[in-house]
Amino acid sequence: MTDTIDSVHEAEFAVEVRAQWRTILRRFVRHRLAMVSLVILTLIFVLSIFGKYIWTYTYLERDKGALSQAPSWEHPFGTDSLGKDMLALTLRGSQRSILIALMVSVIATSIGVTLGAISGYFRGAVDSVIMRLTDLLLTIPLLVIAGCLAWQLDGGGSWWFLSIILGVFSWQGTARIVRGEFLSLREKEFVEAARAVGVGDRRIIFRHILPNALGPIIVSATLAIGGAILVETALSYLGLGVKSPDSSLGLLVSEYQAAFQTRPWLFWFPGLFIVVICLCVNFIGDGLRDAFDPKQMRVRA
Amino acid sequence: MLAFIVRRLLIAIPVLLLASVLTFFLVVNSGDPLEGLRQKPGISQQVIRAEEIRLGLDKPFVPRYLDWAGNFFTGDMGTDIRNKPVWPELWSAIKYTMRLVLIAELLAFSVGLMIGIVSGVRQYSGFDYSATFISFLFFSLPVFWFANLLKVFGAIEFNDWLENPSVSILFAVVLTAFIGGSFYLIGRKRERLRLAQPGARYKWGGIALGVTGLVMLSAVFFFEGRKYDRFVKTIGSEPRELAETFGERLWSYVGHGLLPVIVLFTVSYAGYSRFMRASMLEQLNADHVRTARAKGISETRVIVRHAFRNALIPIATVATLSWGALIAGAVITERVFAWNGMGDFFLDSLSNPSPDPNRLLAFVMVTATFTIIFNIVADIIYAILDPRIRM
Repeated sequence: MTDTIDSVHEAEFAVEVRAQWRTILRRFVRHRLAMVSLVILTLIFVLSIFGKYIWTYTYLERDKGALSQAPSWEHPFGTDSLGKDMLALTLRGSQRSILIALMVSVIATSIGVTLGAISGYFRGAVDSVIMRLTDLLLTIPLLVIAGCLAWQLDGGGSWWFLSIILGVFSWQGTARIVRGEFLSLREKEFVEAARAVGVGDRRIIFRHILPNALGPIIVSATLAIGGAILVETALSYLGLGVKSPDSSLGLLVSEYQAAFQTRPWLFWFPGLFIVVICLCVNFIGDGLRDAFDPKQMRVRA
Repeated sequence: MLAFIVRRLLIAIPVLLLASVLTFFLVVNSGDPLEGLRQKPGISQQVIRAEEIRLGLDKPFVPRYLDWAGNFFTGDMGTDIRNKPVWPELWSAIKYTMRLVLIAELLAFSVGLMIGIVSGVRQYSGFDYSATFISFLFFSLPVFWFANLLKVFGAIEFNDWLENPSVSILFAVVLTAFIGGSFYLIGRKRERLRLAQPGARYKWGGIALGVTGLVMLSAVFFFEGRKYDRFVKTIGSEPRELAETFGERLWSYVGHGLLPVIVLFTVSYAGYSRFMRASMLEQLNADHVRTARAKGISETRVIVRHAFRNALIPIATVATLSWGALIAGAVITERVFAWNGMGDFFLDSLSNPSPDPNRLLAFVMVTATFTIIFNIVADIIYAILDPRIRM
């Protein structure tokens, strides 16, 4: 792909790009662990959203005839002392946690890609300013930042506000990665060629450099989901994130931790869901990283 | 070298100043400090007004910041909403947290490095796959959940067992068979790969079976009729019981610190082991290692002198990054195990009963300062390890 591109080769180039994506996809599909994780994660996500239409109980409903029941066919995850069905609660919690994590990842990736691209492409003073900003934001842990701003969530139900806080303060890693990619790609011959035929900065950034930097961006966006779930559940556990009546996996763990020794199922399931979701996300990220690995791609090019 | 350190310290000053602005912005937006006071019955407007003036709440952002920063950078952290000085309490919290964090970090660093090296050298082996899986598991483990699990299984159940310890014969037999069997299987695999002499499986399996069997047998008789104190503590950062000798005090500290250290270990271990593995792989595939092998240098020497030393350089970055994660981990761990450390200090300042600006400012600034110091230390270590860095 380092060949110079002129108009004659434009069509050929397009074919090349598609072939490249197909190779990446094939390599990802062959990664067995990542595929299994993808299936499990999709299953959990779909169930958490559409579960309320399939499952008999909702997370608000109380089965007064079944208080504090151990897992059974009627209630696979058991019930709490009010008779709430634990499966419904866990699914509802997963839904919130996954949605927040997805939104955090989208926000953080957009900010990180924008700032990283500007920083790496234009270099100079802009670069210094943006990089000092990332250094600055790395000095204070995300949990502390979010903790300070958490009281604004007191109204409850504003899970999207929590996602915005977490997203706005967690783009530093992505920005650094994207900046590194841009710094090396902007020196490549195809960018030089594009500039020589008079292509503008914006088009070079979006059409020529960004598609080539997509691999690391996708990987870091995926891994950001895992990180976001852990931060969100930790905040909710500490009472600084999602608050009742809304639900989150972290909130469920903190609500039921006192019951661990008497009714362990209330504690096990929400926690296990966090572990499983995060493990799946991390394995998918790992599979994507292997699929995008430039060292393997060199064979093809 | 000295010039490099001085220059690096000078760069840190503007970063620290900017961090103080960010901190101030965060704390100003952390809620109303007088909320608790306002809710009390029979509080006159004058009292509230006086408190507002004392805490500087009546001033706009910039003068309020300048007031606070002037005091802070001359060493005065001010007083909290109850008019108590902030520093003594924060200092005692820092001591507890540092003890916890440093021990956990040191353990994670050394174990992570060792596992990472072996994983890298034996890439795609059974060991590598298990180590990778454990790292991923630690990456995905919610700290608060794991801490609670440890509290029940590592402390409460274990202490119950200590009070009336016994090893059942069935458990002894099963464990012995399991360990003996695993060694037999490892031996068989190595025989197939021609890494061991034929018949090694019987030797390995036999020795493992014998040793485990003896240990378990003596354990069955040893614990018969003995009783121990509840050793692992789940609450508190400091021994409250009176300990006479140094040994007893130390033992008591171990009992209190054991579980929190394990929790924080899992927070930073995975980063080290994964990073060290990647770094080792990169070095082992590098040209200088191939040259070294071609010269006929022994494999141990190649790994230790040529690969490991160079692989160590990027690890300094992980060390600085893990500080933030550790502080976040400490906030949760200290809440679960009721330690009076920095995390507890932070959560306490957030809402007890209302956000306490001077305490929060002091906490965030101390955290940020530590991060900046660790970054400088990492840069200096880089400069020492890597001669390509200009001083």
